[in-house]
Amino acid sequence: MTFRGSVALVTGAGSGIGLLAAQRLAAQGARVAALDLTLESLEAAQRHSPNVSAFAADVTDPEGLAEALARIGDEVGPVDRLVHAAGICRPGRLVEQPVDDVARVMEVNYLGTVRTVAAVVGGMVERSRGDIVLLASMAGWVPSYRLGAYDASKFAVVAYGEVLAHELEGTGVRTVVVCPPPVDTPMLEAIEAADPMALGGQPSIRAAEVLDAAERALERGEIFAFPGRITRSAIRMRRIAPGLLWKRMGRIERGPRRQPRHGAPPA
Amino acid sequence: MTTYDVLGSTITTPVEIREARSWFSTFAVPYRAARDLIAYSGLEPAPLPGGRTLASLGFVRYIDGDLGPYHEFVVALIVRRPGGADRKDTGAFIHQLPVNQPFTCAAGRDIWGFPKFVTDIDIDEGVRRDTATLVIDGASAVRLSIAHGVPTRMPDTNLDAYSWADGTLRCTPWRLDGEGSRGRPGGARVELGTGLIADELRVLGFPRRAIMSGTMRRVRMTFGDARVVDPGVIPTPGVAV
Repeated sequence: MTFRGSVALVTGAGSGIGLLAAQRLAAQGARVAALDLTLESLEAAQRHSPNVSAFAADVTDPEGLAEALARIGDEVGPVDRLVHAAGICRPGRLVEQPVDDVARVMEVNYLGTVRTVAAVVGGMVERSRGDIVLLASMAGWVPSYRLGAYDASKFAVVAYGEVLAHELEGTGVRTVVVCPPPVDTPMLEAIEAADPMALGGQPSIRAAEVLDAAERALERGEIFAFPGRITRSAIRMRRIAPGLLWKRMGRIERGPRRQPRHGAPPA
Repeated sequence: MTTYDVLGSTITTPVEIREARSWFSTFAVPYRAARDLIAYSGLEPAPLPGGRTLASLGFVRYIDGDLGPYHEFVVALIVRRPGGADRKDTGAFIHQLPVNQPFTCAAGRDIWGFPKFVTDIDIDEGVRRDTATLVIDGASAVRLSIAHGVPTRMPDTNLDAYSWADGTLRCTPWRLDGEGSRGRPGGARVELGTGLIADELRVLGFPRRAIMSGTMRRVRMTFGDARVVDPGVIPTPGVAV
């Protein structure tokens, strides 16, 4: 696939999967509009790459986002590929978590997706070409302890992306919803720092594997990409035997020690 | 450690490439044709039995590194090291090195005298094979397609990369290591188009079968300072048999 002369918009391009996506697209000759909260955070994406332009906007601020996207249209061109990687995670137990935290996660992860897609999809349909790559998560299929807010937002992205892909069938616009397990990124480090228990010891994969899987799914015309070795089986297990999965996660959550049986002396 | 100003940006050696993907294939080519091709450098190809020497074609997708993201296509020949002890003492001479981004082009030429120029290079990663198409002046020059091999072990490598620019021969210490190495015998398909690089490869007998091909999914590299090589220390040519 060649991107020579085409325009890519990458959100969350300041770090992690978004940064790598911007760098790869730039290497492939695309004109890349890199978007993140601040221009400073986009320095890495722009470094030594004249075909990367930086734009600062918050995907939850409708006016600011619309303004940035209008500038991207004028200065870089109509978007041929959207890689929407902007996202946040606030780990915590739902019973204790402030409602504002849960709302903020939903705003960024779900409504940020909706607003960004809405801004570019019309033009893509008009030109009968375009790729929409949405970064969801395995958490959009398999919920777990301490990630309730994140899980709910990614479930929303998965549903939104699935419907969007079907609506866009036959228009020339391809959609892929990428559902990776934990990925080695600054976000993962932040989650582990905030709550070492949140990931329950799940192994992480590299951002490059995530983007490779997205590319393969696009080529094969698949709506979902499931990078990582155990992702598909974890999703299958959640579908077939959710009780068993929760039991296993509960053991990790409560630690290796058994709860004392009723009547038994404390260990 | 040396600091260079490249297009208004500061670059410090050793230059680091933190993540790249590379594809390489090795070919046995006629010694005489190879010697004539690189005679301008003053270097001699490393001779193999049967009047042959080794040439390498490859492509690299640089993802994260000091020179920015870019694609590169490589035409290299294995040469005897100037002043080297015997015919097993070899280095790689970089004969052609097109890239697809201007920053790395300027850096490569300024810092090491690599023969970089900017043109289109598409890298298409497929299910069974990956293909690079070098496009020069709008026409396909070379298409190199490399099959995915079987997992292999790749030791950390220290190489001497020779380059020639404006009458000066330079040698750059090039260190690379990585993961996800795969290889197989043969495994390369070369299609030639038009232009100088295609014609040079025809002189070397391309398109021909590769001896072996390989890929590395994740490569780290460092490029040190280039040192100018005095052609006077180049040993007199050995007998090419």
